Amino acid sequence: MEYLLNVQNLNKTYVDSDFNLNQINLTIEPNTVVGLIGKNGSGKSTLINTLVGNRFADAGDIRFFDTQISRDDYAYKEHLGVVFDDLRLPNKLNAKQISKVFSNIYRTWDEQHFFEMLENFELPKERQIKTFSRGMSMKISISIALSHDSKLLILDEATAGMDVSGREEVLEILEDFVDEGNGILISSHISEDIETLADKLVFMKNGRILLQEHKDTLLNDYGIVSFEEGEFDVNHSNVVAYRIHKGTGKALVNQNKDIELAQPLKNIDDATKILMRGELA
Amino acid sequence: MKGYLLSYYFTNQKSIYIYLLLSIPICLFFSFTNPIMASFMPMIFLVSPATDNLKNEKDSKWMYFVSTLPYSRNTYVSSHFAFYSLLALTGMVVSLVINAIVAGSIVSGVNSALLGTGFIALYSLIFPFTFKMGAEKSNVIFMIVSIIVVILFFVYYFVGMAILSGTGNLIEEISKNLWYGGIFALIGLIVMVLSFIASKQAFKYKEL
Repeated sequence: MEYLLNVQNLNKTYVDSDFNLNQINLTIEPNTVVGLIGKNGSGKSTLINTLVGNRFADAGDIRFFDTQISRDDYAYKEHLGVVFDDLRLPNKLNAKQISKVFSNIYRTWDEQHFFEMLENFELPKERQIKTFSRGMSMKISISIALSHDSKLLILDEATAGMDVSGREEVLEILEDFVDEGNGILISSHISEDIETLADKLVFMKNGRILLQEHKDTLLNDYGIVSFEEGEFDVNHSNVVAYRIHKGTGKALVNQNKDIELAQPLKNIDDATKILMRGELA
Repeated sequence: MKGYLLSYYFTNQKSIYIYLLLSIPICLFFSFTNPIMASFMPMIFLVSPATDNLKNEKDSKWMYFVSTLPYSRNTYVSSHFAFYSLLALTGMVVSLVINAIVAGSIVSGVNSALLGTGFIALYSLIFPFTFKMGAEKSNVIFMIVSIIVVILFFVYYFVGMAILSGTGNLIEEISKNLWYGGIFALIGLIVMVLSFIASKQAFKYKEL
């Protein structure tokens, strides 16, 4: 399989809003984690909801597992695990009942694996899940997503609300999942999670992709130039984006070794701040 | 579909059993006082968990998860109608048995069951309205549908009266005449089929 997900020229508009997704191109190969980065309202959740079937694209191709899908296809979802930023399950049920329900939904449901995950996460099996904390809710959602034959996980802020050790536990499970030849599309406000997991980064703003880059390339080859207004050419071919505030500016530059003033990125937040708040060159 | 039905059952099992127990004395009461309505009350009691279910699913956001599962949206809509129909059928069987025993007439029991079926089938209009307008408007939807059902019943009742007038005791004639309940059930079932088609259309491309 070449791609777990291949999105080409995806467009999505709303009748009652100016917001739209514009020309989204995105691929996820096996053994790859793609991190979606963007502010609230940047289009991450709209993109995820469009990919999973909650909303419908106006134009563009969506291919899951190398097969083009239409809005009426659903069989491929046997191999898709989705976790939203909130609990979206029949919340009056307990974990045992949830397992019975999903064993009749997924052909490949693995009850043993599900209960093993619950034990690892120390989640109760006989308590109504509506009484779960946010962290517990995310853990049971992730357990469901990983207890059938998922090849691709789509996680929308799935680590939000978890304590540090819980997040670390989840990230390790996700790393194991990817090592088995699977892939993940993850959006998170916690840049540390994206930095830990992601191989490829997709920066989104106002429904558009500003930059797609491999994490290692971004951290190794990009840099930041700090400058006084007028003392640096922001139209330089290596400048990706820049932001000027109160007479001083910062520019995100590619091939940082070509620019003497460029400092290496410390983390992806350095790039995120300029891309989200600045202007593209 | 079985997975969806199981989730509805687990979510509503307590109220299903409570309503089932309550429906027995209610049916007994109506069997003595107004046998023709003896099925309607147990049936409306028993289907109420199915209509509440849609509201629960909006609250629990399960409705926003089903599109990620390996089933079509039609299956989801069908499962709601199946759950509703199964509960209505349970109410009908309970009331049919009680009413037939109390009235000492299977015809009276069947006629009451047919009228009850007509009512409950008409009440399925709640589904397309809810899928279109949203579960948060459930109170308004229930009122609108109730008004439609009552109007339809009274139109039917007066047409029935006009046809049966002059044949003696009207209520007695209605109780004995299977056509009266049968045609009402048929009208209800036609509306239910239309509700089902409209619900599928309303939910098929709904943005969630």
